[in-house]
Amino acid sequence: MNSQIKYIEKISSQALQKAGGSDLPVPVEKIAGAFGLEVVEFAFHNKISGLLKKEQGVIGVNQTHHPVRKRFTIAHELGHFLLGHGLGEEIQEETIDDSFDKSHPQEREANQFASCLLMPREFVKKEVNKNSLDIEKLSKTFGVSKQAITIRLLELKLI
Amino acid sequence: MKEISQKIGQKIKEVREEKGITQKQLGEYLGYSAMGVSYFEQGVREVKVSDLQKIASFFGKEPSFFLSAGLTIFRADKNSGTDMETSKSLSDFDKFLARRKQK
Repeated sequence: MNSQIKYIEKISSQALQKAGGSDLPVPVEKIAGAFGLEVVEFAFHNKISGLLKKEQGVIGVNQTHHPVRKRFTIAHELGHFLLGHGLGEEIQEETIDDSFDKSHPQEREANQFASCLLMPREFVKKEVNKNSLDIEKLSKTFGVSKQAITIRLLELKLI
Repeated sequence: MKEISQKIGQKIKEVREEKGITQKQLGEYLGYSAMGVSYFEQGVREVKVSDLQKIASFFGKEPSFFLSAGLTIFRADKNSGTDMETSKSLSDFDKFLARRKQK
């Protein structure tokens, strides 16, 4: 595991401790709230999944998207915020929960953060021990897409 | 893998149509028939990395552009790839936030 990923794991686990507790799926909106970010749903154009308005303390999320995707979007935007991306500038972008190959490093980091926050290492290990590798069930438990949980399981070397 | 091939194919189709290029024209450049390009676009046939590089340079894009699951990042502050619809959507959101604040 490289140092950047380690760092992101650390930040996400701190964020989780701050407001997440041990409930699953991880209460991502509540965690954003703990950092002073309000989640505002809006009927954006379909191309926009979400955006972060740092100055106003707002995460905008596309209300027409699937709940699972919205969760990832919120976690992704929170990632930009906590990882100090776009200092002073406004970040507006699309995010999708299966784009693990994005070219921009900050996007990759924000996706990595979202993955770590929504699927915390220890929680994933515990659930795998309990339920074995039932991807369908795990994706529901963590409130993420099947692709997202698969990527995380690979990353944690559980499959 | 099929799902990824489909997404890459979708992206190729999107860019090709946006640029007004036919499947035949792209095929000629790559050394395939129009049908071959159609297979790529449908995700029926996997795109080789070497072909993806050619396709990317043909359209003046990075290969990663096609790998990003069929979507592009845009940042309004850099004016790159921000189209009318998304700009409007973003300004609508600003208005919405401003109105909300007044209440």
